[in-house]
Amino acid sequence: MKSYTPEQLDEIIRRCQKGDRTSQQLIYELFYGKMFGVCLRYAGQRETAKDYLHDGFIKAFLKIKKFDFKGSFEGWLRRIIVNNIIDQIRKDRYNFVEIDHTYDSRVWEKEEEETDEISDIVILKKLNVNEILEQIQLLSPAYRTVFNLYIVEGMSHKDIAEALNISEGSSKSNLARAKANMQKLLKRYYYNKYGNKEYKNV
Amino acid sequence: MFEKVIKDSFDNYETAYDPKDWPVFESKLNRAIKFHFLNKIKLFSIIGSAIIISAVALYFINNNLQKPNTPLSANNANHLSVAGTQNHVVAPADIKNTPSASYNNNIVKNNFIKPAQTISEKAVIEKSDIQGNKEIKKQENTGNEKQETPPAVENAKPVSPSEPYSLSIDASKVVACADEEIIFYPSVKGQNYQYTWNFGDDNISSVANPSHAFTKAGNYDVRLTLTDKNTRAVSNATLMVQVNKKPEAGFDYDITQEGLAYPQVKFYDKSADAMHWEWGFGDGKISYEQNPVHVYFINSDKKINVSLTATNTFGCKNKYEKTITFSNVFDLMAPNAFSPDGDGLNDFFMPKALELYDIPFELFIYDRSGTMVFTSKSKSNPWDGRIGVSGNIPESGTYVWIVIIKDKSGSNIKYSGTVSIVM
Repeated sequence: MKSYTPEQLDEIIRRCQKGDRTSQQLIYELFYGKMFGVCLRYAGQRETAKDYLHDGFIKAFLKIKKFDFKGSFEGWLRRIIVNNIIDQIRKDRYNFVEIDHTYDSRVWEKEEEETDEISDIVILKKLNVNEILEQIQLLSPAYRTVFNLYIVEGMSHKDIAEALNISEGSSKSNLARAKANMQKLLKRYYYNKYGNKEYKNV
Repeated sequence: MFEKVIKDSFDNYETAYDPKDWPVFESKLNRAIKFHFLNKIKLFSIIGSAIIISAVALYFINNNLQKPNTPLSANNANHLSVAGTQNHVVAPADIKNTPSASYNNNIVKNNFIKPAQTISEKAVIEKSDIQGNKEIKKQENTGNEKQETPPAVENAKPVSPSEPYSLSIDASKVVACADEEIIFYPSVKGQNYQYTWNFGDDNISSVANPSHAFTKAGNYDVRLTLTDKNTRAVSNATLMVQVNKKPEAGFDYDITQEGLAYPQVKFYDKSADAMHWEWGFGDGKISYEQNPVHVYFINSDKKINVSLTATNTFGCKNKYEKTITFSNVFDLMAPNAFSPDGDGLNDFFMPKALELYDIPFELFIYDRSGTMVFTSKSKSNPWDGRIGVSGNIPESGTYVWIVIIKDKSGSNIKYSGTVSIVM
């Protein structure tokens, strides 16, 4: 892959800030792979991921003048792309399972403990990232979103709740269900691939 | 743990780049920017005077409707070459410099430039070197689409005003040296267009294919504004040109002359920012040393032009010339007259230097008719003015003398002069 020195990258960004198309293309090329990877995680289909990617990059180019060179550009770009995805998802009004605020957090913590973690990890390590990605895409949009925001993006439930305009409890329960589903999906995929009758027809 | 493994596997996840995706994205981006722009106008019209501004907006909308692609689209394949072009630019000297030297050089390792384009560009530039601009223009006008034509020129068919087109700039070089002429080619050509080039250094041009040399190093955004004379529709394109500084060239020298040896000149490079030197000694010989020593095989006073061409890491060259004056080149110190009258004073002719130095030589004396009248190989055998060995009495007159000596390297050095016999 291409790589630029920080000075070169800054120069390209400065040119983008002046609206230079060539530099925009360079930025697009440079971050396409990573950002498309991000978008794929949030989308059920490739086409949707492409739309996320394009819209995100457009937003970034329209806002690039505000980039102040203080943090990493990749981080900045990624935030814009993820925020755009969140906006889209919010617009799509996915059905986030609302739960009672009195829902005892100990219950889903217990659920978590009960899952067979070690074998999950063995499975995960045997699968490549594309295979894991395919399983993420099979999650329901709501689960997928929370799963991504919490696990990969590292957002807190509070932030997720704010971003998606849902309650914190809802974020937690969606995550718990997402994780449980994800583990099932991975197992199913794994045993379909490597053979184990028990999971073949889950 | 589960979470961490998932996170780790996605942290560095990347898909492969798909070059086909850029045009799709670019058209979306153009629409978005236009929309963004129109929105701004809308907002402004609310604040300001609604009537006037909406008229302006209408004008813009009309314009944009006529040329949906025009104002913002910029064809990339050609001018993507922004900075990395040393990879595909012509001069071999430039290719040398690609490594790490220039700041922007490595920015663009252009995946988009196909080998065919590289060749074609080269071909055209070479042509322009040989035959000048006219030839290129001819090709463009005939819309020659052969391989030889550069990409920009291929597109250079007159575009009918209603057709959308994308404007881009191609250049003979996008990485150049200060004071180096760069030829610019617009992707759109035709009688109906008015060209305004802004080179970004306070110079402008209204020629379709301008040639411009930047005097100072730096990155310049060359901007072309194309106006359709019929519809007044305006399109813009920019191309980044990187201009690298030239080295400073200069030298000093010392001349040493010892005995009969030819003058030897020691040159001292005084260039700044140079990494390659080419010396032209003015006698047809050259050297690539930084501080060469050169021997001039001359035997009379002379002025010689010596040049030093310094090249820096960017491949930019600068030439410095100096005239070296050789005076007091080894002189045989031959007298111009003698009186062989047997009075003990100036009775013999022998160049003084040959008497002083113990070197092998041959002396020949010719009379006015060109007949050799005397020859000697020894300083103990000077000419006594008599013609031949027959011992005729010397006659007054002017004679030509020639001395041939061998220098250290064994080559012959020839001296000559005239001498008069005064009786």
